[in-house]
Amino acid sequence: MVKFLKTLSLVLASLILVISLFTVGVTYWVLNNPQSAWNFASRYLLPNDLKITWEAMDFDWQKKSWTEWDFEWSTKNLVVLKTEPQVDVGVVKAEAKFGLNFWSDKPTFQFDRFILKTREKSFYQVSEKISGTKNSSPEQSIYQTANNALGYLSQSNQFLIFNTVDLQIANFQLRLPSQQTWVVTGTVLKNPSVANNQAMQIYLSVASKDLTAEAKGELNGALLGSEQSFLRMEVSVKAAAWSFQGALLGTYKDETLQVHSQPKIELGDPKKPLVIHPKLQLTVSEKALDIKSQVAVTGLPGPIVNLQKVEAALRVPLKNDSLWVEEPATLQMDIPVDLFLIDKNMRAPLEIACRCKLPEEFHATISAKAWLKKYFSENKSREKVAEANLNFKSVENKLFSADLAADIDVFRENNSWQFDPRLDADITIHSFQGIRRYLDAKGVIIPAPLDILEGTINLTAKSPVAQKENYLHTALQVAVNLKSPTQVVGADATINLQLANTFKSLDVDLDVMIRTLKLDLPPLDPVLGIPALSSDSRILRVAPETAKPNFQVRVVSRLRTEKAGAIQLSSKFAKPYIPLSVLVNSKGTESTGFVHFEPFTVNYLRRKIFVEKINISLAKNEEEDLPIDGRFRIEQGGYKIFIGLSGTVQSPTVLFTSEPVLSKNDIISVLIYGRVASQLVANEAETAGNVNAAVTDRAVGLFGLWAFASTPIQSFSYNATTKVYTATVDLGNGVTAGVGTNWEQATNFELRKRVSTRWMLTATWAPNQNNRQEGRLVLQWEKRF
Amino acid sequence: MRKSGESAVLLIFGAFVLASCAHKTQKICDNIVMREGSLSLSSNEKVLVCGSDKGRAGWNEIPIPQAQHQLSVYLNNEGYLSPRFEREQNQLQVWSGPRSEISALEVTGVDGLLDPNKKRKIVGEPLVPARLDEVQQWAETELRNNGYACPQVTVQGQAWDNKLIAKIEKGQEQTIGGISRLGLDGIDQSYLSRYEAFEIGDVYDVRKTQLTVSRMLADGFIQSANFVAACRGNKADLTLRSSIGPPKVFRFEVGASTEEFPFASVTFRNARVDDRASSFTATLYASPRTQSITGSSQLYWLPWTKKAFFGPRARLARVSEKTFEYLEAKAGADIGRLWDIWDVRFIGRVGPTMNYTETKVGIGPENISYLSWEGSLEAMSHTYESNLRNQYEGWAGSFRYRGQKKGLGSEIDVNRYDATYKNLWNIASYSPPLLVLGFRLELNAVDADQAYPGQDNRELVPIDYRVFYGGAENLRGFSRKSITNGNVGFLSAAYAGFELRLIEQIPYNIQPLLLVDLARLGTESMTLDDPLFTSMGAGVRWASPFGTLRGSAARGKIYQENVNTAGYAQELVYFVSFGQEF
Repeated sequence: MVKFLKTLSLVLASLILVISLFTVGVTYWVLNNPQSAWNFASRYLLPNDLKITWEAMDFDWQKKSWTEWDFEWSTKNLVVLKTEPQVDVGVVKAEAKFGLNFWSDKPTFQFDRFILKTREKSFYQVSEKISGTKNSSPEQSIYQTANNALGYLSQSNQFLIFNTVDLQIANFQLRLPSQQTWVVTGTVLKNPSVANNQAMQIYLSVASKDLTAEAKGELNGALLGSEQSFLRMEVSVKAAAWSFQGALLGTYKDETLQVHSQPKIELGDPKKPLVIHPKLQLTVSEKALDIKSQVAVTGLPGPIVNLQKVEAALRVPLKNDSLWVEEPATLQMDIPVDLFLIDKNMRAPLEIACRCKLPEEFHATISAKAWLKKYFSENKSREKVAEANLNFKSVENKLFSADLAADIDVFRENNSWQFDPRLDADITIHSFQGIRRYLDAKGVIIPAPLDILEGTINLTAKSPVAQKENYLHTALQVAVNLKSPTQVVGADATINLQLANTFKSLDVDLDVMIRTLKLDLPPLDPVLGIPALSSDSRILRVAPETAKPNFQVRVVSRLRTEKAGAIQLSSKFAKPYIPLSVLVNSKGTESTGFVHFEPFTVNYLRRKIFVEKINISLAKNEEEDLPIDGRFRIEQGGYKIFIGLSGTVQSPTVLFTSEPVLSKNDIISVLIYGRVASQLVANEAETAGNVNAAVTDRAVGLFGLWAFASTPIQSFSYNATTKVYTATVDLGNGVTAGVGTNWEQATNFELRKRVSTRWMLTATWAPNQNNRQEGRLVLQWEKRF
Repeated sequence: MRKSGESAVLLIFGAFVLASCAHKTQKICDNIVMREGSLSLSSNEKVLVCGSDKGRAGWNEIPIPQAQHQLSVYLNNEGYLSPRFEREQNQLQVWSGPRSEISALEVTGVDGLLDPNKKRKIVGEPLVPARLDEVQQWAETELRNNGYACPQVTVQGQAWDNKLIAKIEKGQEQTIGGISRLGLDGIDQSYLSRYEAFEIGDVYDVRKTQLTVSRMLADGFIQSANFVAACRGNKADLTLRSSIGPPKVFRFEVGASTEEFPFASVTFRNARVDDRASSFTATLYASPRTQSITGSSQLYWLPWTKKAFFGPRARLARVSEKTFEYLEAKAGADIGRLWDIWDVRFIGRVGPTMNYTETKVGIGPENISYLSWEGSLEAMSHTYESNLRNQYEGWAGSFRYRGQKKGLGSEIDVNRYDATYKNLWNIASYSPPLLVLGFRLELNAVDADQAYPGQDNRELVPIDYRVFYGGAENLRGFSRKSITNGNVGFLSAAYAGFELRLIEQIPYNIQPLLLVDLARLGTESMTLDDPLFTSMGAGVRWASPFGTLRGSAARGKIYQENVNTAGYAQELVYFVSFGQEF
């Protein structure tokens, strides 16, 4: 046994000796022939696609004692090339001089000099395969990772010192799988004149096409474990749509990492940004990662311009030896929304109107949970990974009541995300007048005669927000019940909203059903012309934009009446009222559908017109005009005259028929003068002829035709060259009005005053027998036969 | 004392200037005030801004935002594109802001057919819808006048640079492809060619269709007519839509004219004697100057032509002027023709007349019956005929002859020749014109033989053969027919008149003018004697809705005076006329 042990010891000692000699030999050979050694290694040991070359490399060591050695290593123009992943890193210069003291109570690893300078435009192509590769090292929680790193750094004070550090990375390109390139520039400096061997100045900048980030500050390992901040960084990040600027202060004590920051975050239009001032506190402890913040937001669009005292708390439970835990991370936000939308000077009248005390603010809360373990797992089955709930505290008073809530569940399936939002909202405006006063003060037009209506408007949204392939969909319902002593507005509307998954467009489908609409028309005199309701669209205010907006809203609407004649427009000229039925389908600027006038009677001046029907199609023709089909009936002079309309609203084709049958010219004569053409005097016949010509030439629009049919014409002149007509109509009581266009354009003009049925006073201008122009003022009696 | 007077004047002037500079306010409604600018609202517009007690409760008051919107619309339509509003409770204050003025007019798509530089009254005018309409109408009319029957014109104003852009799709140039006529039952349509200012194959010109209609209406055989053009490639097919009324008219009139006051007339006219639209007219007329009964006709009975007529006529009259009075009876018949060629309308007629004249007052044959020949040829460019009312451009001329032969009831041979010519130039061809230069020429020659050689037998020449000058028709610096040559009249005359008229530079379409007249007259046939009669002065023309009103003040001046001119007053003469043109 002893012999065996001796033999074994001998063999082992020999083996150790051989190995030691081999190791020493190899080491000696490597140190003396680094290039040959590297060639050997790269040929037999390293991956085939990895090529590492250098122009010069020196390694030297010096023995101070058997336990204390100094090493010095330097290289120039070191190049690392690899094809998978693609790497091209150049090191212009690298130097390290460090000493090792294996047996001392002093720090045992001392860098006298550590210099690294990379070549510009070095790059590293991050492959998807590699970026998704899981680390095979044992799983650790965030706490463990941070604690280990900071713990090692803290303990390194005992054995690691730096005299000079100069790391310079210039324009290093990190090429991401998404075709983006991040350009990284960084420096880590430790000047030997700085006494603190653990304090290093750090500068790091990252720039991409969409973002630039810069961090500058100090990492002081000596302060780890103390109350003071071991990390002080000024961080600035600027992107197209947002920016972040502020200081990060990190402390590490009692194995707890805390980071404080009060940055300024700007979102949206740089000229008018949404500004957020959060007060952030991040704590990483063994049990949880907590982020608490207090946020103030300014520059919000719309009536709510500021949000103060928004509080948020995010808690991510942690457990050692696992990156994520089964328990969900939770987010709780409390958002008090001041009622900025109500002016101070409007509050009192509104409170009087509703006989209530309006709240100073709404309270909105957001509660959310996220199962991060599921979120980061590779499970392909459908799993709920997050849920959130937005809730407004209910408000109810005599002006309005609001009960608003929204939920959203987030699922993941096969690395794709599915959102399952639900709305649960009910807003009722109990007093339209109260809202009307508010909107009026805000400059929003609630036009007459709608402004005197009172009643309720109810908006309900109690449906899931459906997740479709390319968009989210939900629906709202609106019910309007308003009235005044002579008017009623009763309508139901369904609003379908489709928000694109890209959040770049919103499609609104509006379906309005009019149950009853009784409105008073303004007391306008039709012959005096209908005033313009909008500015002339031919005068363009701004140059047409060619660029598409970032967010597009497309509206499709359908307006219809529940039953024929559901719209009733009251006017002193229309008996009993103007009944309408409509179906209007609108998409952008295009409309289809119809407007039907149901039968009614027009009493104007001394004429009565029976409107049997008017159907206007809303499908515009090539000339942007609306097709029309209608028929009027006028009973005059013992005749029934029917005026049939076809063609378009601006240029109607008029078909005159009568009972008993008359010629067109006779019909127009009866229409205007109450007598057939043979009973007219010359001037009247000419007027009737001119009206006939203008109507035939479609120079007289629908309104003009109606005006002539309903109003006795005194004179009418028509210029076929310019398609201009001029007419004077008798409004009764000696009042006349000009209808049409410029009288200077008329070719023949006579100023006439009817004295009796056959006597006429005329002023004329015409060539006389001698071919001289002669003005005449005559009292004329005439009979044609 | 004088200094204090000057100070007072300065003080008043300063106060006036300050008052002028101060912003005036205009009360639109009880609660709406204009602090800058002014706005005139129609009663309907006011309803939509201020409300009205005439309507139901919903329209008694207008919400301030709606009133603001409406005011903004009205101000925009007046060229104030950036009005400013301030609201305090229920009160609204309005500042109109500056008025946008059109900086330039651009026309696209017409290949130089329209020159925007020739369109006046646009650049510098307010950017308002009316100016857009005006440009649209101008472009459409110009294109329709030049062969494009169906142009598409879109006019836009650009508020950011105040430009007006007319985008035009003129289509193909079109010739008249065909004419169809509706509503002319009972009329032989081939005889309507005498009215037509165009022929098939002519380049389309809407003015010619309008002239055609005007001629038909003036003749009275139809009640209404208009042409409708349908475009078909490079052809425009015309349809005449017309209606004919009862052919016979019996009319009684009393009134006044620029020539006579008062007058009364009874007229019978049959505008459709037959299916060729021949006409007959009989008129009984009475005024202090003239009492007459006339009958005339145009009978399209000649078998070889459809544009010529046979025109028998008769007249019995008593004519009384300042310097003469006579009775006359005439009966005659003409052959006449109406036709168009070279864009000119020609009217010619010639025929014999049997005359009886009895001179009651003045120098002339006491009692004479004779046979005379009368003929005339009138020509008028279509441009002139189209611009007859506004007198902007074109030319017209005429030649008249009237003669009687010794022996045919006449003691002497007498021939009178009258030639007139008038031309109007639209200087630089602006639209509307800036300056219109008018020129007119009149030549009169009376050739009368001497029944008794060596004697002045002027009294044997009928009064209406002799030439009297003065008045608005020729020498405007002399009273009407006041240059009488001792009441015997002249036998020769040459007249030239000039007029320069300024168009649409003064409000209300009042057109100021400068005038110059020159005339030489002769007591013998074909002889012009001294002196030279001239008129120089100024005047105004106003194209009112019911006719042209003209006023002039001109001083008559005679050069190379002699004993015969002693009786003519050389003074400032004022004329006011209604209906007359240069």
